[in-house]
Parts: sequence; structure tokens; C-alpha cells
Amino acid sequence: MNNFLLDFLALGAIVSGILVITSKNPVISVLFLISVFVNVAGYLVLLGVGFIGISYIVVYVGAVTVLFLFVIMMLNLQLAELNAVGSEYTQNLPLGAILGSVFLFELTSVLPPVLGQSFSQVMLGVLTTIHSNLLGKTDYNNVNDVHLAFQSLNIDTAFTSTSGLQIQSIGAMLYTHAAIWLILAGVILLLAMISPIVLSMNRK
Amino acid sequence: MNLSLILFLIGVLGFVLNRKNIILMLISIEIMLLAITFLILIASFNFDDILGQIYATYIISIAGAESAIGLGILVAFYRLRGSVAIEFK
Repeated sequence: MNNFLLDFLALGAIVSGILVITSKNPVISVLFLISVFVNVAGYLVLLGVGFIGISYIVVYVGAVTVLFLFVIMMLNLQLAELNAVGSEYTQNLPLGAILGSVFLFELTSVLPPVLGQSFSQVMLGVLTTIHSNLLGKTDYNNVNDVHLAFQSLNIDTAFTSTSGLQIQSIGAMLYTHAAIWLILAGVILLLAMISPIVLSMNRK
Repeated sequence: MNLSLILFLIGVLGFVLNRKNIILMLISIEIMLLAITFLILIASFNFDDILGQIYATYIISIAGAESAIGLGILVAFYRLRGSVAIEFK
């Protein structure tokens, strides 16, 4: 049942994403963008990444897409001048096809074959490839070895029900080991507040 | 992993295939950021590691800042040109 729901949400996210980039009206495309975010957030919550999943709904649906809707409705757009018609639209199709095929070629040449394998196997294959190319280490046999290899930093990142909730360990990491990046993110958000003010200032 | 790669491909194609709609370009950037964050989250969840979620938190805040600055530029562009249609010729 859970797997069926995950597949259903993934399908909904992909279909909504295709509808975002193909709809003519920007308002409709922002509404389908909300649908993409809600589907991905549901996927994450069902998978067990609860805090980030709910943060998606709060930040993206509550702030970013509402900002998009606000700007689109404020600007009083003319739909006719936004839509590429006829030859203008098909002009970019070869570029799109080239970019898509190059992207898929890079993925299939860098990654081991993806379909039909579980995600852990795929990531294990990627790490084994990188480590055997760079370090000459090929003795990773299952995911737990890689996990132990990454856990050698003596940071306690294990979160179980006895050692604390997921959000507790996120907060502990965020305010201790990653505090400098938190300050940096705050400075960037301050920049994001100042720059629209400067951009929209009337210099008369 | 397939879901996030397909979403990233949708974002890239949406960025490339439209010629005039600059709002759709900003929306495609949001979709690409979402796909990358989703890939990081799934990978860190499969390795039972919390650092991916910390990283995803930072990417979410950067994405919010990016959309705010992008829409500010869009509004300034509209006030200068009277239209948001872009012509790159």
C-alpha cells in the first residue's frame, strides 16, 4: 500500500511537472507548480523525511509560489506576447532534444544501470566507481561499509527513537557543527530582502 | 532517484524550450532546485545520515532568496520595458 502511494505521488509529480512547462497561462502553470511541490512533499513525508517534507509545504507552497502568483497578477500580463507560436516554438526543439539526449547520455555513462536496482545498490555502485577511480578502494561490499566509511568523522548522526527525534538531531547539527553556514544563510536571506528594495527604489 | 532525474530533465527542457516567457524560466529553476534537493534527501535517507537534511535546509533557504531576487528583477524589468517578453536575437 505504501509503495503504491509512493508511486502514485511520483507519477503525480511528473505529470504536474510536464503540465507546468506546457501550459500557456502562467497562473495555471504556477498552480501546477504547487501540485508538484505538494506531491514531492507527500512523497518525502511518506518515506520518513518528515521535517523537510513539511518544510517544503511551508516554504514553497506558502511563500515562493504565492510570491509568483502575486507578481503575475500584479504585472497585468498580456498572454499573447508571452506565447511562442508556430515556428518560434519549434525553433528551440532541436536544442531541447540535444540537451535532453546529452543529459541522458551523461547519466547513463556516469551511473551504473539504474532501472531495476534499488537506490542503495545504485548509490553503492556510484561510490565504488568513484573510489576505485580516485583511491583504488574496491572493498565496499554492501551499503553498511560505505556508511561506516562516512561515519568516521565521530559526529553522532544516528537518530533512533531512543537517542532523540529526527528534528532534534537536525537542530543539534544545525546549531553546532553547521552554525557558520546557518549564519551565512541568514546573510543571504538579508541580501534577498535588501536587493528587491534597491531594485524597486525610485531614483528620482 | 529516477523521479528526481526526470524532474530535473523537465526543468531543463522547460528552461530551454520557451523563448519568451521569463516567468516560466524562473519556475523551471525552482523545479530544478527541487529535483536536486530531492536527490540529496533520498540519498542521505538511504545512508541513514542527517547531513543531507541539513544541506537540504540550506538549499531551501537559498531557493527562497533566489526566487525573491528573480521576481524583483522581473518587476524592475517590467517597469523599464513595459513588458516581460524577452527577445534574444
